[in-house]
Amino acid sequence: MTQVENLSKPVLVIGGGIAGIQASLDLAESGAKVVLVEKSPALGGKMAGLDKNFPTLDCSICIESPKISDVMRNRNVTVLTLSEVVKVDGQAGDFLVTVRESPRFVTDECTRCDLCVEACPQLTRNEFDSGMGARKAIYTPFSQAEPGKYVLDIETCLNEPPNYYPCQRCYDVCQPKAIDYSMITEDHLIHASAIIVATGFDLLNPELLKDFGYGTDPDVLTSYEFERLLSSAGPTEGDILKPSNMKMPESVLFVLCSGSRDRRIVEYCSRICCMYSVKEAMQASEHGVKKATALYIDVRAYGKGFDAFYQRTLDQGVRFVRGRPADIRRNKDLITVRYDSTSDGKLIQEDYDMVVLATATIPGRGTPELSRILGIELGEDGFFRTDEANPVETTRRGILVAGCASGPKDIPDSVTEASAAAASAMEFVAEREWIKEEVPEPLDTSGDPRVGVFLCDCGSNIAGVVNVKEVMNRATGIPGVAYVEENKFSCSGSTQDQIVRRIGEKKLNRVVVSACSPKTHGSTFQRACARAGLNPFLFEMANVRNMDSWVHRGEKEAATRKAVDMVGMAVAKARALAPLTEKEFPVTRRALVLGGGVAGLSAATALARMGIETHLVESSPSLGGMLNSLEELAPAGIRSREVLNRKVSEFNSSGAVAHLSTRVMVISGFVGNYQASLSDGSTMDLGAVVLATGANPYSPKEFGYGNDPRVITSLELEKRMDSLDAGSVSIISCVGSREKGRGCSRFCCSTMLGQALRLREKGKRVRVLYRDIRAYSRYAEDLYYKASKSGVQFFKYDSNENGESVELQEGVLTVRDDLSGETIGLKSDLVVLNVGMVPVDDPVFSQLKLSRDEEGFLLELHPKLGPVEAAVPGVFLAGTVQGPKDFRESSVQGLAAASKASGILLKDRMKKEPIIATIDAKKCTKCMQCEPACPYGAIKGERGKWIELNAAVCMGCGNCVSSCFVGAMSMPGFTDDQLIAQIDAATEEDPQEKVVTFACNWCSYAGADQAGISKIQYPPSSRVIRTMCSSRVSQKLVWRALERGAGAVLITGCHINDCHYISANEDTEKRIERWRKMLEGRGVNPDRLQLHWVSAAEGNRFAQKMREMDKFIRTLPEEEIAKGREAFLRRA
Amino acid sequence: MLLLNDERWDRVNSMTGGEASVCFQCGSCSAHCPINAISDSGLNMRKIVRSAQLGLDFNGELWNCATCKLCETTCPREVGIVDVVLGLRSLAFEEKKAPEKIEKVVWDIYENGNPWGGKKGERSLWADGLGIKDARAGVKVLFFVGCESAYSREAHESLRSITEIMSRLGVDFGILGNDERCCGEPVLNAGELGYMEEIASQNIAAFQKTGAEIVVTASPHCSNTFRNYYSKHGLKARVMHYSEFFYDLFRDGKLKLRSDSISETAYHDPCVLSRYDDFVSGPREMLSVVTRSPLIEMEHTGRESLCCGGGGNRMFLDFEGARLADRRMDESAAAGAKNVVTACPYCVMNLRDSSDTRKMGIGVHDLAEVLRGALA
Repeated sequence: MTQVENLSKPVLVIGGGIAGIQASLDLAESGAKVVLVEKSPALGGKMAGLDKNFPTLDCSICIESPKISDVMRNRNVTVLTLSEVVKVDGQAGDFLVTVRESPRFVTDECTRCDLCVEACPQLTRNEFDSGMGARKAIYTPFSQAEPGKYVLDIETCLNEPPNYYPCQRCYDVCQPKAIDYSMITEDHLIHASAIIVATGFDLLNPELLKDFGYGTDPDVLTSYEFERLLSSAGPTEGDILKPSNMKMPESVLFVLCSGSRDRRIVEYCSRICCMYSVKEAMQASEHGVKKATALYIDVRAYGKGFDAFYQRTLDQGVRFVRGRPADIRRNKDLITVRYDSTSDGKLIQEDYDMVVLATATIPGRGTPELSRILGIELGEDGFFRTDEANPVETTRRGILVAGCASGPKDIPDSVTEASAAAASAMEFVAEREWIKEEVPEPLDTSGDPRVGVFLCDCGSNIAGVVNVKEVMNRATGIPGVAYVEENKFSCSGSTQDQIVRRIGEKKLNRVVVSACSPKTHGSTFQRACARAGLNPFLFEMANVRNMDSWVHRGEKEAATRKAVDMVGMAVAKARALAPLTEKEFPVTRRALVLGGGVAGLSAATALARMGIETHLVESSPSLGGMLNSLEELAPAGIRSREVLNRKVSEFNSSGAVAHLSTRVMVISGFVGNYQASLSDGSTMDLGAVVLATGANPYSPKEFGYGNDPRVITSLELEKRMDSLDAGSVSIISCVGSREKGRGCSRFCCSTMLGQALRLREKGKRVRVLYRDIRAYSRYAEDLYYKASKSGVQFFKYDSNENGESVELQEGVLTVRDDLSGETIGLKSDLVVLNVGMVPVDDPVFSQLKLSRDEEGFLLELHPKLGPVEAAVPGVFLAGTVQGPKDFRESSVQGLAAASKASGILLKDRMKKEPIIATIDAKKCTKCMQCEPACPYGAIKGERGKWIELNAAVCMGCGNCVSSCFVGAMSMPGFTDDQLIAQIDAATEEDPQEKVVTFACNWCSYAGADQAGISKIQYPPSSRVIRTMCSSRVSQKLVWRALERGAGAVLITGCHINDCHYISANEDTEKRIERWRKMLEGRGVNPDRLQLHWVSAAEGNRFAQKMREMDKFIRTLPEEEIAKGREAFLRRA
Repeated sequence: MLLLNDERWDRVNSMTGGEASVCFQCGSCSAHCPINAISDSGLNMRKIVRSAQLGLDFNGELWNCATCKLCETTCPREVGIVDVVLGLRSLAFEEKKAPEKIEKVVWDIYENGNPWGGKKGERSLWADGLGIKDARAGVKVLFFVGCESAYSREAHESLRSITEIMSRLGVDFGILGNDERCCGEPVLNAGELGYMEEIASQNIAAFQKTGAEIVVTASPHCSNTFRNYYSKHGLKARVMHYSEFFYDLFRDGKLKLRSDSISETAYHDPCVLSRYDDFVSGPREMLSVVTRSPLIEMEHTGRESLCCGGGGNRMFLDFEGARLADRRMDESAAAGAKNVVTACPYCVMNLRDSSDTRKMGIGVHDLAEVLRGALA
């Protein structure tokens, strides 16, 4: 049993979904102790049950399970499952919490052998599959569940301890005797410094939607059930099948707003359903569903990249029809649906094979009870009430809330709130400590390589296509391989433990895992190695799932051959690996926050309150940013001035220093060690930077703005609200947004509704011209209702260019109104253009080598799980600099950025990956060719005299290695020997049929991963070798592949200007041009060496190039291969 | 291009009580409308509401609406859709755009006290020889007969059943005889709000003279009008449809029923009883004592019942094509009913006509007749 009573003042986190997990990880990183309380048997929450996430199409559990493992293994975090908070006394800084832990009846001795499940006679509905499958009384919720030990559901079990034991079947078959019926409910008393509520949400019982047929018709499903059908670990192993006859549906109807925006059921917008329905419809279409239709009222694609994703789904042939079904009824084999297609006014009756209801998101069942226990209030919508100016604060000091507990939210918004809540909780944490994982004695790895190979089935994801037994047989015969085993899910906690054990038992000194992408799971297995005392850099992965089984589904034999090659390549590299040690660097414990708007103020205040020296640099003479230009903040209608005053006074009392009317002129350095010079002449050493420089309002050219005084922007209206003499005001939404490559600006619909209501209350005639009303945020739908009730008239126009369907002439605005089907004229004394946001450039961005998204906003590390980190370590994003947001979201992101920055700044030292170039002094001639090759200026010296490499500055691209003529430079982890070993293994058999493909870690490798995630099929001729940057690919490597007879060599990387090493890929481009000329000179077809840029999102582009390359090598004549071999052998 | 007319919108908005404003045009109403389900009538509830939102003229079939309120059961914004329809009808009536037949109905009521062209002196023919008390002599219960029942011979049996049950249970009741005047529902449905007020005040005065504490009606349309309109204009007496009145007595153990020969019976909920007044389980409780086999439920039932086609002044207009009553009777046949019982004279007439003309062999009965036959 866990000892939580003795912990000194941990933060209590309630709820083990993605928000609770992220909050716990952030707190632990900042040195707080954490008790994470989850009421179910496993961590993961709703995210663990989802198939893919929008709009990235990441496999949900795949990106969540590393986080689950992290939190389980973090020594600062104690996880209590099957536990609930029953009592809270005390106050912020010192709460006395009683947590009640129910018995699991299974001890830590459980090995997940599954024998108990086979023995158990009691079946019940499987909650994880939403009841579509069954489970036994003893079970594990899902394959990757952590904690890994099974759980016994005593309600379903035949036994009734302590007195009644008619059945002991599981107990009898359990060899380690892990089943213990004597376990009892235990109460834990915890002195907590702060509490974070992250209890998530539930889904509406769809039987309440009387006309929609759920519960009586087996083929009417909820979206969550559909998600489980899509999941390869779900009840149908990833096939979309009708429950009524287990056949694939030809047509599927998705019904949005099933219970949401419905005053009889839930009045608010459930916020996430539009996008997951867009995603599910896209997946249905990709699975071969011929007719995928969605019925919607407004498509609320408000987030970054959402509109583009929606458009892609439409382009794929999915139909989105505006309307709501009146009636969903079974008609023999089909389901008949009636609706009014409101854009053309036609009444439609259509038949579908399957109907999927996007059921409303509702407060978790335990919410009212928990609000009573915690003494915090609920909002009108039934979710926890929060402070408008700081949406992670509840009504009680020291109790924070994150994620869907305070209203529906998608994953990135939940994760951001989790970090924000962690930052707020840190204010109450007095003691900081980082409990180190006990590291065993390092293993001696100097002897001959003994490689252990672990082959993951990934359920049916790999084993369904690749013959894993065959791969196992072949792997056993590879020199240096000491042990091979097959795992159902290598990434599960228990298999990781098993790998740790095997390293010891089999005396392994290298580990290869053949599974999925090292980008998502590499660190998971590296940690397992470390736990066994094995240097984590003696580990290599074969990405058989994303780059083989998922993309060659129809070619099982070829896929198996490819898997054999891939494992061979990984083993070959593993043999050549050398142990590396992480480097440590000192950290300057000082933060710089750039920008004094709501995001910057929130970030700086939180950092300063944690005791970190914090400097806020603001270019204007006053703090507050956009808040200065607004009067009232929608949807709550609070005064902007009040929020501003509060934020500024909190900032002033926090101890942070403001530098007003000041700019950062130059910034350079690296995480933990940045240097900035300010416009006032001062310079500053910094450990981390928060960028909160904001965005600009779009300045319109449309509708004669600037020439016609009757046309103003929404921002100008804000200032003139009280002095308007116009009697009739028309507001046009989306001016400058959702067109010409610009996405939705997210905050403007709520702003517009607030302004419309205020105008109406002043007695104006108010008309709103909209495309979709995107009132997604908390209480915004209510504002929409109030505005319409007050008599604001709404007109829906639909076009990509405003000009097409809305015109302004002589005070009359003409709009083609979709809803009445009429072209309507509106006499308007004043026309308000509701403008969104556009990005602002700052020289600091390029000095820090930051990437931009397609619109020019700063790009985050990961759209789902890394929304506040920049790709550059030590740089964090807050507020609208990352994308349009309202003041609440900006405030939350400011706090979240502070939390992330504090993870660095609260420590004296930090670790750095040892992928740092080295110079062999014996070989180096000090020719200084490498100096200009380094994008970071890490190499300094004087020709022929001296040379020095600053390890702290090197980022590990390897461009220097490729530029060195004498082989003096080396890049650990990607040495010539290691890469050549991979090339040789790839070209061992039938080399002419292979395309040796180099892919860079950041873009093209991720793009190839993406092709797998999207299951885009292409021929199996590629053999991918990962390097950090395309610039690491040297002439030696290319020549080696051609000498070995490879059909072709393909080098891929980030697009020009997207390079993660500033501009190293420009050198790649130059080199390839040169090498192709050299090939021609040697009489070799230069097309056998090709270059192709692929971004992380371009799975299709990667697959397309692979098809092209495959075609190319098939046309190569025999002699050509031989010619190539000779050309290089002669000179070898 | 239609230039929006602010003044007109103000008028529409006030006549529809602002009900249309919160509609977000999802089209649940139009797709749910039973009239649209049987024919492409041009009646689109969503567009009606849209017209009201903008103050536009509605050019569709405003008078086709049965005011059955099925649309309102499915509306996620809880829009008073029928209020919107009636508001627009008022405007149309004012602007002399109502159909001629509707104008005639209003004139008939003005001249004869009923919409059917019946003579004043023949209103109480049904009661001849029954010795029913004149309510003006002072009664506890005023029985309001209603125009449809009074002037339709088919309905007389139902009236006689109601009064017989009352007499046998010793209820102190009376009627207004030939001086009874239309409740005004057709005037309300026509949108002649000024005249409606006059009718209401005349009737309220007449009711008050009887001293009755309860007004019991034969038609749920009358009780609904009294309850929802008259009570806002000064009516003090309690209003009940006879089915509600008898149900109270049944529940109190005063109305005793025995099993009758009737079986394979379905109950058809009249819109005004079920959707307007939420009276759904009472008739079923009584019928389940009377019928010999368990009561049959049709696909649409209770608050989701289908209209017979008679509401909203449709009784006075001619419509071509498929009939709502046919759809309803087909549902009863599909459910296996041999008998349909209901409690509204419009429903009885329309459903019986459908069954007879199509030779379906399904009996359509008034609830009162069934109850009388089963009096213990």
